[in-house]
Amino acid sequence: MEEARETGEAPDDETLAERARHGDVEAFGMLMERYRGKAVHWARGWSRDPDLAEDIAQDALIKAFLHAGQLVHPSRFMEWLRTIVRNSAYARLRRGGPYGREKPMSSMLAGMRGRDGAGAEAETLERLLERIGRRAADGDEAEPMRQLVRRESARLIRSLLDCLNERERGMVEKFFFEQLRPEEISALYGTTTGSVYAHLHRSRKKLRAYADASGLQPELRAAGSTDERSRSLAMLTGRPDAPYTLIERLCRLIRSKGGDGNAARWMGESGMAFRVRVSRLNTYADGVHVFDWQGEIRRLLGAFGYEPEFLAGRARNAPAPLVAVAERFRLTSGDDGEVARFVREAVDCGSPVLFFDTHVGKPYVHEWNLIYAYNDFNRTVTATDLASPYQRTLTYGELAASPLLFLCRARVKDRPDPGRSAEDALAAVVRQAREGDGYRHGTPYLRYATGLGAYDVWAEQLEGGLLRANEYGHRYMAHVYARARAFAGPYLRSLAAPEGAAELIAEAAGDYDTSARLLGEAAALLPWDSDGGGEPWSAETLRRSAGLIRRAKAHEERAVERLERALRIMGGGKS
Amino acid sequence: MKKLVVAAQCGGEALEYLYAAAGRFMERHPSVGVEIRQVNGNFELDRLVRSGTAVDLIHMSESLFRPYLEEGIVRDLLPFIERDGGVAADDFYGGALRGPSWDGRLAAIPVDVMVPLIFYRKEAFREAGLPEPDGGWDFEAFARVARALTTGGQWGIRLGVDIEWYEPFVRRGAGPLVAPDGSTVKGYLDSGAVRDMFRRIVDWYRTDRIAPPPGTLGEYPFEREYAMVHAFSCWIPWVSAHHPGEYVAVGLPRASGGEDTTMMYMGGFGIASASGSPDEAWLFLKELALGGPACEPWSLPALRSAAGRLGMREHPLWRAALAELEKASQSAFYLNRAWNAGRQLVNERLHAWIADGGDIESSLRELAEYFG
Repeated sequence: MEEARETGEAPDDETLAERARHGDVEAFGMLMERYRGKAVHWARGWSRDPDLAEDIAQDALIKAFLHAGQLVHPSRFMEWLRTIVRNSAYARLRRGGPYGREKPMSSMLAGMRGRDGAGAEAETLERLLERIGRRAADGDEAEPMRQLVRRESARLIRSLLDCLNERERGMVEKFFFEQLRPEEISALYGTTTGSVYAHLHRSRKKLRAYADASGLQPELRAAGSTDERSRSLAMLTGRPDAPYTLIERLCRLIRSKGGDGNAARWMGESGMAFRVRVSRLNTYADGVHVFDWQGEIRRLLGAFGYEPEFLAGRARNAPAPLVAVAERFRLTSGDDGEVARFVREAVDCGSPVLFFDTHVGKPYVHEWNLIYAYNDFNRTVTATDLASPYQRTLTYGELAASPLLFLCRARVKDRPDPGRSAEDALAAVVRQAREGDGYRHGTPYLRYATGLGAYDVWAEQLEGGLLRANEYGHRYMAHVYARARAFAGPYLRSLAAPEGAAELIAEAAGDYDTSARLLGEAAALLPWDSDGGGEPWSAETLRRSAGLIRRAKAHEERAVERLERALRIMGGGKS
Repeated sequence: MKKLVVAAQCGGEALEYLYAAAGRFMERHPSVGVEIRQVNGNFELDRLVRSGTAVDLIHMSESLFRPYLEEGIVRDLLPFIERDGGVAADDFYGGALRGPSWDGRLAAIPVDVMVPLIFYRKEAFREAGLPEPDGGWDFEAFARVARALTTGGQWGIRLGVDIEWYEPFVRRGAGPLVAPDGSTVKGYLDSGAVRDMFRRIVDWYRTDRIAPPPGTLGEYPFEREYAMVHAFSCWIPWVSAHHPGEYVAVGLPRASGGEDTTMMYMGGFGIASASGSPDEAWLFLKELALGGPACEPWSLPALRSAAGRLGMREHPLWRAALAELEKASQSAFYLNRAWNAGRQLVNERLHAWIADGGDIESSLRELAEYFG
């Protein structure tokens, strides 16, 4: 996602462009500094080749420099530059295939495979060269696994460099190890770019011949066979064992990293065991998913010693689900490279990626799943699924085109956030019941009830009869909230409290148990799973369901009163 | 027996109204059944219609009219109107026809139609010794009146913060936010005139102090602390029932030479291209939105004849709303899906301008780049 650029006190683009137009090289330099990343991004979109994109962007920036005096509307500098990048991309792509005559080194080497009959050895060497030559901008340095592979590849290639003359060795080092562009190398050596390419080409042939002669091929093959372009993590698939798939998937994610992923504890800590939010428009299911995703995930993971990283956005041209959540996200670029990179980096570090899955099959509308494998050759990821066989393959493109893109990976923090005391935990339960979950959205036509009052809205909608209730939404809410509430009592019992308060908390836990049972009866009347039997969708069934929901609310009301009394005893709650 | 499947995204009274219309229709046409498939919002609707599920009528919101026509998901309804002896295109209010149209084709018959109005409390004007407005006011006159009405315990105007509500003010004062074909906001949103109009609106909160700060508005707009209320026509039944004779409604102010138009919210039912029963679907559409009671009680009718039949043209509040509907046109959120999707980002900026007096010009430039 492209974030708005912060200009701070620096001159704005228009001012700089105006100065550049009149030959101010410094101003042009500032503009280039600002826009180089964007130019590469645009070029990548057109060329679909990261290496070629660098070259295209470089071409375009040079052209822009040479023609800055022709810029007619300084206020439209970005548009002007984008046109130049586009034209450069088209020019490159037109020149005989995707790369034309001026190939990036990686593609030039790749193109030689069949022609010189080098076969697997050439491919191995090329892969090693590619690996060490990958731009630092790819973010590889942050990944221990990639760093390791890259270091090993570099060691092997360096051991071969003795076969090259000084000039060739220098150019190979500049190109692959220092990531200089051919243009920069040509300037250093006072030669043409074409000559640099020729030297690199010749060097690669010498390297392969030397590797053959020196018996290093087996080692090269061994290094090359560490296939970093597809990787799969061990992942337990199967039915989710907690009602909120977000919590269940987060637990699995943390368990896969060796952490403590106990669903019951997480349901309590997250507040999901106590939460209820109902749309005021109808008995729609969306309230289950409407909360501050980033904030809640950050808070929850932080408490368990992990730091989340997100890649999120909503599609520009497709309707997004959960508008009350989606409204917080910027529009996505639809760049599948960005998505692939995010996934690759996580999986390479041993971390699955949590994602909001809008590709789930019926009867689900959208749920949370985990990506645990990627394959760059097929451009696919493998993810958990909610239905048999409980795993599924998605393309990078499908993932990037999600109407509501939300990816999350986790890394270990230096130390966990301080845990909540029992008092704080109880106060959070009470606050959620009395004031709701605190989430505010901006879209005015969406309205929700949250906290204990939400039960009344839900029941009223059901009492309105068949013409006022949404069948899917009611069944889904009953299913999720009933199962979630079953975690409330056990969580409360797990909290340590002083005498006096402990008894009240135990009684409140019992009330929540009863509420869970009543909600469970409502869920059994109209089960979400169509195979689950149940009663017909009739006014009478809705009326009975409403009665059960009201009784559940009464028990929770009593539970909250007890918790408030317990808090007063503990001295930390509201009076 | 034929069956019409209606994909509908409505709840509450609107859903009840839809079921009632289906009931009436089935009574009149015993050989046709109607099944209502509820969906929650455009996302679920989109999934349903693209899943290959047989759907005859599709309930769209404004941002889907154009793409669904362009993608051929819904049929052009103008030929149905031409073939139908009972409905004429020139019987439609201008906005009711313009809203769901694109490129000379009609995607839907509108339902849930509403326009913004300024409701003023007559007593507040009397107490301030001001003549009641007739709606032909410019922005200076509007601000002057609102300032005069703003006293210790009373705000001149209640005006919520949302780009969709501001847009008609901007159009009437400066011009559109988006190109007529929706392709870009550049050159529109970031124009000098639009910038100045936004400054004027922000001044109502910050300098003129005629409108209460964002975040301080209660849910119910028709409180005595407001002399004028910017609200939608769907409130008319409520105002008529609870404040009979207290309020009069007029249109928004307009700059001299400004475009005489306004915005409108609406949904719309279209006939799926894949429907095997388009003629029956048209008959049901007429029952739902053009015949019978003609529209839900909170909605403006699409047809002049229906408004006449329902006595709305004689009702002072409805009459004002119908006049606005006549001149209403498509807002940016009808024309540009990215703009529609990014509404809250724009709203964040509006709030920031009002709260902190941010740099409107650079914000608009940045937004123009963002939306393209």
